[in-house]
Amino acid sequence: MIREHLQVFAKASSDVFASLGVQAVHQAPLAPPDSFFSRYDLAIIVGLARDLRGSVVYSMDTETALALAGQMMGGMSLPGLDEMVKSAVCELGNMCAGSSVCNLPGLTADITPPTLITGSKLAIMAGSDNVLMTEIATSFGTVEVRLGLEE
Amino acid sequence: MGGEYLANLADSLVTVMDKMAGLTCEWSEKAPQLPAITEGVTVVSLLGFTGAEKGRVVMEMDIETAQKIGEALNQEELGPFDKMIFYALSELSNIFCGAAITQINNGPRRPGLRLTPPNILVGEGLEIFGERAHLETASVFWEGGLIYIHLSLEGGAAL
Repeated sequence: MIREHLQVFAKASSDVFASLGVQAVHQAPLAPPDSFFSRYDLAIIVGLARDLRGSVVYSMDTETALALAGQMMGGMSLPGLDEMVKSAVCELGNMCAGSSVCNLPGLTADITPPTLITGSKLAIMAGSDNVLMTEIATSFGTVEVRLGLEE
Repeated sequence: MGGEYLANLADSLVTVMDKMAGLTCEWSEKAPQLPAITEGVTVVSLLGFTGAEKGRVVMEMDIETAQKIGEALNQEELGPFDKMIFYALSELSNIFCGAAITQINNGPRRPGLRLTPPNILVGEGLEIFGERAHLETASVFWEGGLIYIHLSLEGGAAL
């Protein structure tokens, strides 16, 4: 079922990007991550509880996050990750995960508040061994989506 | 409320460390706060919870402390980035948070909290940011190292 769920997350997240005026295409295959290490230095983690227990992790470059946050603020150019920008990026994760769980057929899932993590050489073990990832290509850069669910 | 929950979490970690790994720990509420407490390579276990309150629990330590805990739990020597360390920490955080959440749920407020599975994050210069959250931190220490527990509840005004 995780494949179907990740499809829903990717589609709903792409729709959220599109609603912000960002071109977003989900065309990458769904596959288990080949490594714990992320290619990116920024991750937004949203936990899932109730019918789905696990977490969804959105990873991207800082530049992509800045561009997406700037787009949320009406096309502003943002110089760096200050508190306001971090809050906007968290809100983006909240919107993507919230929209996704609302589109899960026949399931009710709660989401936790988003957590933003930045750092270099970032390795992520998302929730459990049952992890699939995919990528969304946006006009501001690639967003990696990892979904980890308990069996 | 946050302080009470934090005490439950810290008590639970001390108990679980003793029972699972035979490590005698103590805890204190006097601790620095996020972000970026630990220098160098940081290991973080992050669990979210939902229910009457929403928030997250972050267990933070340096890689050497993580390795010692991993070795104590697995009862074998492990390299500094052995996968077994992170599986052990994941299990440890799931157990101690699960026990604390059960205790909180059985308390007078009965908030009906539900825990998400832990995410383990490893990296250099890790910074953690959670919006609209009030943060409380405790430190748990034993002879082999120091662990920080950060509890944040959404809507900090309620604290």
